[in-house]
Amino acid sequence: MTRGTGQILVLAEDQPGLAALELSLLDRGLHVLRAAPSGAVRMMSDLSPDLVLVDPTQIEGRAAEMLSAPEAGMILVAMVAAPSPGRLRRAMELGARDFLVQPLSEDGEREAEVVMRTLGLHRRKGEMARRKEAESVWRLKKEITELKERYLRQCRAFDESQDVFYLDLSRMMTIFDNIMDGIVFTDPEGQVTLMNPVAEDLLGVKSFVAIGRPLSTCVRGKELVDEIVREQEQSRESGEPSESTFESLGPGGAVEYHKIRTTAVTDYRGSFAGILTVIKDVTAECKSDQMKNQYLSIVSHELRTPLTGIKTFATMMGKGALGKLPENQQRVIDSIREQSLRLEHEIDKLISLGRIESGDFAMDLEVFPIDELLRMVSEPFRQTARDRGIDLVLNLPEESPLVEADRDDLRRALQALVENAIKFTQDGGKVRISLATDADVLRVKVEDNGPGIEPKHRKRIFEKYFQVENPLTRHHGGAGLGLSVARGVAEAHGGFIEVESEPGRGAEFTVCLPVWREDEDYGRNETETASLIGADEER
Amino acid sequence: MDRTILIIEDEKLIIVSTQMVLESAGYHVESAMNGEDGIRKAREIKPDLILLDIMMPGIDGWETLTRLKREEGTSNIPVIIFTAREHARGHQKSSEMGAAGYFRKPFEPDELIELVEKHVGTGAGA
Repeated sequence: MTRGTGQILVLAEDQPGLAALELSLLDRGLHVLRAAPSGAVRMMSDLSPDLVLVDPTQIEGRAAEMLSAPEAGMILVAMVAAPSPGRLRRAMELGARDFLVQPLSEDGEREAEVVMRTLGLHRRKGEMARRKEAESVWRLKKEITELKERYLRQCRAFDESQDVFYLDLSRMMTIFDNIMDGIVFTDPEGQVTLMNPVAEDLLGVKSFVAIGRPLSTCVRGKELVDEIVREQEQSRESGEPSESTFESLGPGGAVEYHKIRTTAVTDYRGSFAGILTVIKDVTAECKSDQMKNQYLSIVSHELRTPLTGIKTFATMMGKGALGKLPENQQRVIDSIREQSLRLEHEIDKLISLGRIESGDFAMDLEVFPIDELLRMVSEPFRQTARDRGIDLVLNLPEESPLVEADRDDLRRALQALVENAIKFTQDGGKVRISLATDADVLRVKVEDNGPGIEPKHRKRIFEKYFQVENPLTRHHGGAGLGLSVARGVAEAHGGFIEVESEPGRGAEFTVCLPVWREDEDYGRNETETASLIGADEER
Repeated sequence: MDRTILIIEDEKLIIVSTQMVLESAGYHVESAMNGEDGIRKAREIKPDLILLDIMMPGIDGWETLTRLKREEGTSNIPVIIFTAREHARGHQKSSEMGAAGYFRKPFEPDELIELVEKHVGTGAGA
């Protein structure tokens, strides 16, 4: 006989065998209470029994709902008289786990065992559910522990990164405060958000005054600030960095120069977040440049004056102005003239040296036929070419186009190409200067049949101070500025320079310049020279 | 009658050598070694053309040009600027100030003669 614990509620009128069943259940350690089915609701809510024995046909309404609600946790064992499909379905609808067939046995033993088995099965299921519950609680605790550890780890990492961040910030601020250039940050509305001490000095305003206000309202009447605001607008509109050098009068009335660079700042999403402005006082550099150029200009003037005398006298004597000269004297005087041309070329190079840094080319434009200039270009090199047996040829078309250019700059540029060609051509070689032209572009070509230019050097030869070792002499000659000057001059006149060369087969430099034309389409009486660079970009 | 060219130039060497070039082409040459003397001489002799240096002691070439162009007696004389220094916008400046030409030293004698001929016609002996 199995034993158990629990409360059994019997909802039935007295019937044969029922008392015996109750006794058998009592014997098995269970508490048994009986009530009429009509009192089911009250009994079930008062007692919360573990198991209910009832005839399903006698249960309905609220009592039926209470029985079948899973949360009530009551097990139903149905007592059915003569089992039929309809009665069994009703029992199952109510959630019956088993059933007893009426009439009950006389001793109630069989029915008591059914009750005990049903109760036991239910308890085992409960046990399993509890175990599962315990397992999930344990898992949950474990997850919480892990989460806690992870949280602590993240807190530590955050603390560390915060330390690194503050260290970085401190470094940045130290740089920001100690850098020799003025730095100003403005937000998208143009209000100052950050300003370093150099900027405070340059703009004459303290950052605590400027921050939160537009720059133009906190520093009034300062030309430099107006220029900065203009540059900022330009960067904001174009999205490109903008740079300029600005000349203004300082507080003492002395001329000052400032380099201004503005860059648009974007946030991590790429949206516009303000403007960074860097201001540098370049007065000393500009003045030193001006002094250098002034010095070079004076030196060149001082050298040109006696040279004018020598060249003019030599030319006139060579032409027989003082009477016809004997052959040997004629040779000497021609040589003096050629050497004076060479000296003139060297002085020109000195001028170029001063201009190469500032890029001040094409400052004195005039309109003239290009052939006039080309005839003079090779003059200073005639004697060297003759001495080295180099055939120096000039090929000009019958009609020469006009060009608007700085005559001296253009002569220097072309002479740099000719000098270069002669330098890199072996004795007995050939250097040819030619002119080709179409409606808009004129091309001055300087070709030689020297050793050519290695492909690796081709891009670099126009860089300032870049020199290729001369394979003829195995040493460098000059300062490495000639080709750089030539390119600077060509570009300043709205043109460009090209080079073609195959090693061992000579080199060919072409200067392309816009042909000057009187063009009324430009809407003014003055003349216009179209820029080849601009035209190129449009294509 | 010979065409007269006045050279206003502070360097004797330049005067002598330029004179040689111009005389070889049949021109009569007068000279002055500073701006003020040059203006006075221009007033007196009324030359057919003036070659004017820029860098001179006292009043410089630009100032001399301004005064020559201001004065009724000399304002019609063509002036050619004659300089050994490179001036930014020198061509434009000289033409804006009323000069007839702008010429760089050292120069090619033939080019100088060509330029002078363009303004005053050929010299007597040429």
